[in-house]
Amino acid sequence: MKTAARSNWLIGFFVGVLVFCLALPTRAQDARLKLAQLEKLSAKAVEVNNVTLDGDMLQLAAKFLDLDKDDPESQQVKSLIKNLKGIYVKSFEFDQPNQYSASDVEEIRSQLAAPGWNKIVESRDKRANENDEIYVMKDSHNNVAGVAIVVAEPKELTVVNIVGPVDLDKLSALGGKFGIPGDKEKEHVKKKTTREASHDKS
Amino acid sequence: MQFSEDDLRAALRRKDPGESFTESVMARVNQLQARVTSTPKAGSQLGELWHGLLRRPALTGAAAGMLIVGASLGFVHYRGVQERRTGEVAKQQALLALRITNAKLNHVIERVKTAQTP
Amino acid sequence: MVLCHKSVRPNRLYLRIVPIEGPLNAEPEARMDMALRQASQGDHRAFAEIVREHQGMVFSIGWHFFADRGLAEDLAQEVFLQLHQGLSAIQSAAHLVHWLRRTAVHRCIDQSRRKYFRRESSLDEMQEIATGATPADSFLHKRLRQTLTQLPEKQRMVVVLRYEEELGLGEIAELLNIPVNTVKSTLHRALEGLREKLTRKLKEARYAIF
Repeated sequence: MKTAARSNWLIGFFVGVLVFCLALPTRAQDARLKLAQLEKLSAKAVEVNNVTLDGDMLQLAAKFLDLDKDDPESQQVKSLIKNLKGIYVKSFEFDQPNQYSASDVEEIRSQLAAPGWNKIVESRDKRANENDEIYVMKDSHNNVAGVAIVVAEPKELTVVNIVGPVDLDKLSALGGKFGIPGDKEKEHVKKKTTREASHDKS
Repeated sequence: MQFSEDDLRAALRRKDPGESFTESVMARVNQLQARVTSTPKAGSQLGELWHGLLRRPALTGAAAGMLIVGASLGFVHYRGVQERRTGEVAKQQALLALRITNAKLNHVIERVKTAQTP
Repeated sequence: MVLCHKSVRPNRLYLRIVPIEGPLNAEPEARMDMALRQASQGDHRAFAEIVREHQGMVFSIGWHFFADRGLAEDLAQEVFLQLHQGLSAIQSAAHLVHWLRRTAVHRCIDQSRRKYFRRESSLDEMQEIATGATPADSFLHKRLRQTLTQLPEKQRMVVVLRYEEELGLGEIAELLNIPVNTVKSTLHRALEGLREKLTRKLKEARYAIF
């Protein structure tokens, strides 16, 4: 009787360990969004940017960025991507408004409504029909495990999905190279935006 | 025993082997040609090459070694070129992805800041 | 040694002309030139004509050298097969004769240097020579041919080239790749050897009779 109880306890223990082990990689993969349904928009868009970088390709990219040791921006980018598991970007620009449907965006939002994802920033402008959101997924240690950015504008739809530990401050602070505006440029952009906003108000 | 040069000439005069000899030669010529015709030329050349290689084992070994070393170096070089090409593409993709991410992130932040500005 | 020197040698070339019908009925050299051209273009009849014309020379060199009809025939066949494969390299009738003779001579020497053919001529081989003899053959001629096979290979070949092929000393020297003086001394030793062996055989025959 005792032996049977012990064996039941052992089976339960091993099943628990197995479930826990299976759950670990699943949790890491949760931050990955399904973006394939957006592919159909490529036909309507005037400009398409489609990036799919999985773990191996990211490591290779990090290795090649490491070769540009004299370039601080390359080193910055390298330090940002070296621990990532994936970067997925789908960006469409259209010459006419309303080329994508609300259901296309809803499909993404429904995935981001799943447990684990938290919307940290939302900007809605009903007049201009603009809707921008930033989501973050955190792991059990409260570290960032994934990021999603959705920018839905009349003539543009962009979805960025980063899987893995990413530092949003560093990501935001990237500047200079390849047209990424640095702090000075950002100040300039801010002033310009403020001026345009005040001009609109007047 | 006495003999003259003419005796030697007479003793060693030419003998014709007869018409049967001519026929035998022609039969062998035909046989040889039939064999050459029935065997594909490239095949016979390969065969000759193969037999030539078998006759010179040291040379064959050296050639095989050089071939293996050459093929290995070629393969390593090819792999290197392929990896460089893929690595460069991956690097450009990573930079593009981060540029878009950075731009969109800052765009959203700017909009929020702008919205919060009284 | 007693040798009866004669200043005039019969010219065998004219004795060997066999008139043939058709377009090939021309001067021997011109006829052979034409046959050569046709044979090199794949004409088997022309090649057969070449074989027929020169088989006596090629076969006889081997036959007198080895005193073995079968071996001489095999050797001659090989020479003609070699010729067939390299016909395009033969430029003229004169070149053809030279090539055939040279190839036959060197094949004979190569063959005799192989261990199997180093043995002394057997009684069977003597019989073989006798089989090839014509009724006009004298006893002396048969004895000469038999004794020749007992000479060393170089002496044997010099005698064959000198008295069967009727070549000059210079031509023999060129064929065998040896100096003319060596040809002279080799020929001298060969004739002495023949005389000695013939005399010994005659004495042995007398003792056998009495």
